[in-house]
Amino acid sequence: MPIFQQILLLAGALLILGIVIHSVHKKRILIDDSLFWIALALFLVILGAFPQIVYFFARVFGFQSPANLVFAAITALLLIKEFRTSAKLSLLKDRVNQLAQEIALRDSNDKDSK
Amino acid sequence: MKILAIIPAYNEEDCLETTVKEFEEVCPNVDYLVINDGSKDHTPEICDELGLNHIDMPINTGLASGFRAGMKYALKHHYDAVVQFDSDGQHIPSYIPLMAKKLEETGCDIVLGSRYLAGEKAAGLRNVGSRIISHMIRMATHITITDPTCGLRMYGKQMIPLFAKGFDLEPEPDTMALLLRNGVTVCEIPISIRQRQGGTSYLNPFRASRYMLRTLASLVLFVWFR
Repeated sequence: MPIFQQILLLAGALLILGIVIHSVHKKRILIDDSLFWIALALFLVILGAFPQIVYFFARVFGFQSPANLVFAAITALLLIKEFRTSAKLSLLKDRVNQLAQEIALRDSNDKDSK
Repeated sequence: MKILAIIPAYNEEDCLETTVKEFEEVCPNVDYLVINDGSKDHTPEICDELGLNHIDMPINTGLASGFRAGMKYALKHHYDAVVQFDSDGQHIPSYIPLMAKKLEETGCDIVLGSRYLAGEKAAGLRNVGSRIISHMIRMATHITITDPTCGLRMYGKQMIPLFAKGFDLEPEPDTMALLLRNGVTVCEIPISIRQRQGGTSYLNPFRASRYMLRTLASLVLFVWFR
């Protein structure tokens, strides 16, 4: 991997880390939800520092260029993450609806008992 | 001093009754509030039948959120101190007056229970985790908390609005470190803890490692910047 690409990868990782820390500081994300992005940044740092890992797996899986493996791996990772976010969102929708229903029922109970 | 014990309960039908009965006997002057966190077993029925002072969360929202609801209750009813108390019978209520005394005497903001100050020897994986967390807290704050994962904690009056309104302030070790860095004072008293008296532990290996990961990330990265 050319040194420029390595630096780019490291810079990207640092940028992610900076954004995540800033967001936690600004109370825009829960620490729980930031863990994935911290892990991703660390993953990129490792890839940037030891590109031999990428070369090795590119050879094993028969990728023509190591960069293609990086693209494929990160695309797959983000697709999984996107699906999990969708699933979480579905649950959240259901929970908000449940809360609205509960509040409505409690309100009607209060009226009944008056 | 008006003290409220927050007793979060999620599926604790096996031990809730014994825990609260013992609590009422030992600490008749301390109010308590059971937070039924959307339990799916008979916890809500037990609360109603025994007439326990409790609130029912309509859905399960997790320990931190349940605790926060308790803090909101404490704020609304002007309590002077709040103690975190497990519903599974691990915590011994007779320590609460001692903690309150310590809180008043020292003027600390938070009193933590510590099993190690009481001479308990560290062993097992859980204690390794506890030691690591303790070390990280010392690095971030230069203050030693001997038993950071111990769940028996008492919070003074200033802490109540903080926890009731704060964002992402879980009653966990990383929050203690954050508060310490912001000038909150903490002291410890020796306590011992029993085995849980029934039900199943919330911590399975997956949750335990996630807990550890979260705490360490929070201590390494965020305590410095929050």
